[in-house]
Amino acid sequence: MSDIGIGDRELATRCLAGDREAFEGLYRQHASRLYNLTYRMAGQADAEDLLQDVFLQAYRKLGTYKGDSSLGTWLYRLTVNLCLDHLRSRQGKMAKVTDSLDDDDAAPVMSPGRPAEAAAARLDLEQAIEALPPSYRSAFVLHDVEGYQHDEIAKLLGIAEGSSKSLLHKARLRLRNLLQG
Amino acid sequence: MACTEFQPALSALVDGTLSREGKARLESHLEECADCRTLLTDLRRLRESARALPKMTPPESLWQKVRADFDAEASGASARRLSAGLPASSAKPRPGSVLRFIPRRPSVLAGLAAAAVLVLAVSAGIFFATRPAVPAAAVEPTSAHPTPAQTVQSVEAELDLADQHYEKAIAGLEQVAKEGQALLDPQVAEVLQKNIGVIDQAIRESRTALRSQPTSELAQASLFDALQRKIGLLRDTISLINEMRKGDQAGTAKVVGSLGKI
Repeated sequence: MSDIGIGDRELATRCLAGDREAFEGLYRQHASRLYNLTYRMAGQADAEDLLQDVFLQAYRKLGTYKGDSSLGTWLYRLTVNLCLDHLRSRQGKMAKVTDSLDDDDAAPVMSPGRPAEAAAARLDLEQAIEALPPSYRSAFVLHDVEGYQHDEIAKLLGIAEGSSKSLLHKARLRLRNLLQG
Repeated sequence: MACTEFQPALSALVDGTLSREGKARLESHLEECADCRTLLTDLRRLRESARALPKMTPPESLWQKVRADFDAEASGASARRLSAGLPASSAKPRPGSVLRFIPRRPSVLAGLAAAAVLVLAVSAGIFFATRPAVPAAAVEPTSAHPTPAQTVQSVEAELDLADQHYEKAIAGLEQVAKEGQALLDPQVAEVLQKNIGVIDQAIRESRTALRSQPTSELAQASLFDALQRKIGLLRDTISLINEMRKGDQAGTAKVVGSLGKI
C-alpha cells in the first residue's frame, strides 16, 4: 500500500515553515482515509478528537520525516500508534484486563458457538468492533476493514507476522461470539 | 485432531493464505464437522461485512479545529525562531502546548477562544524566550557586575514586561468573554463579576506591594498568581459560554461549579 508521492518532502518542509495552504493540502489529501481508521479503531465518539491530535502530532513531528516512505504511509503509521495509545489509555482507565500486542495467550480462544459473556444482546458489527481489546481490534481493522496484509500489519504494529494472523483469528472469533450474543 | 486445532486454518482459508497441504487436511475435516463448516461460513460473512463497512467522511468543522491547532503551533514556532534566530526547519515544538485549551467539541466561540489563548501563548513565549536579554542589556554598558540599583531596575523592567504580556492576554480573553456574556444566567454573571473583582483587588494590592519592594519574591509570586487566576477564570467563563451554546447541562454545571473556586 506504499505510494510514495512526488513532492512529499517539499510539502513537509512547507508545512514546517508555517505554510497553512500546504498544511491544508496535507489534510485534504489524507484526512478521509485517516478518519476511517480513527473511526473504526477508537469509535465514533473519539474519532474526531483523535484525528485532530493526529494532525497536531504530525505537524510537530514533520521534522523527523525523511522521505523514506510516502507522507501517507508516515501519517498512517502515526495514526495507528496514536489510536493504540488512545485505546490502551482508555482500557487502563476502565481497569479492564490489559493485553499485550504479541501475546498469543492474551485472551482465550472461544470455541464455535460459545456465547460471549459480555454480550447479552445482539450488537452490530461497528459496536462489536468497539468491544474488542486493542490488539484484536488493530489486527481486525487493519486487515479486514482496511485491507492490509499481515506483513504490512506486522510492520505497522511492530509485531511478528504470525502474531498478526493469530490476533486476527482471535478477533474474528470474538466478534462472531459478540454478534451471536 | 480437535476442532480448535483447525480454527486458525479456517481464517487462513478465508484469507486465501492456507498452504495446499493445510487446505487438503482442513477440507477433509470440514466434510465431517458441521460446527467448523458453520464457523467457516460465519468467518466469510464477517470478512465480507467488514469490507462492506461504509467509508466515513470527517465533518468540515474538523478542519477548522485542525487549522486552529496549526495556526497556534506555527505562530509559537515562529516566535521561537525569531527569539532564537533559527531557520524554520530547526524549530522544535514547545512542551505543554496551549492547544489543550482549545475546545474539542463544536462551538461557535471555539475560534475566538483559540485566538485569545494564542495571544497568551505567544506573549508568554516571547516573554520567557527573551527573558535573559533584559538583565544582560541593563548590565553590559557599565560593568561586569550589576550594582544593586541596576539589579532593581532590571527586575522592574522584567516584571513590567511580563505584566504587560499578561494584561494583553487578559484583554484578549475578556473580549471573547464579552462576546458571549449575554448567554450567561444573570446570577452566574454576577458571581463571575464578583470573583473578577476579588482577583482584580489582589492584582492591585500585589502591584502596590511590588512598587515598594520590587525584588520581593513573595510580591512577585502574588502578582503572577493573581494574573494567572484571572486568566483561569476567564477561560472557565468562555468554557461556560461554550457549554451554554451547546446546551450541555452537565458541562455547564461542571463549569459553574468551578467558577466559585477562585
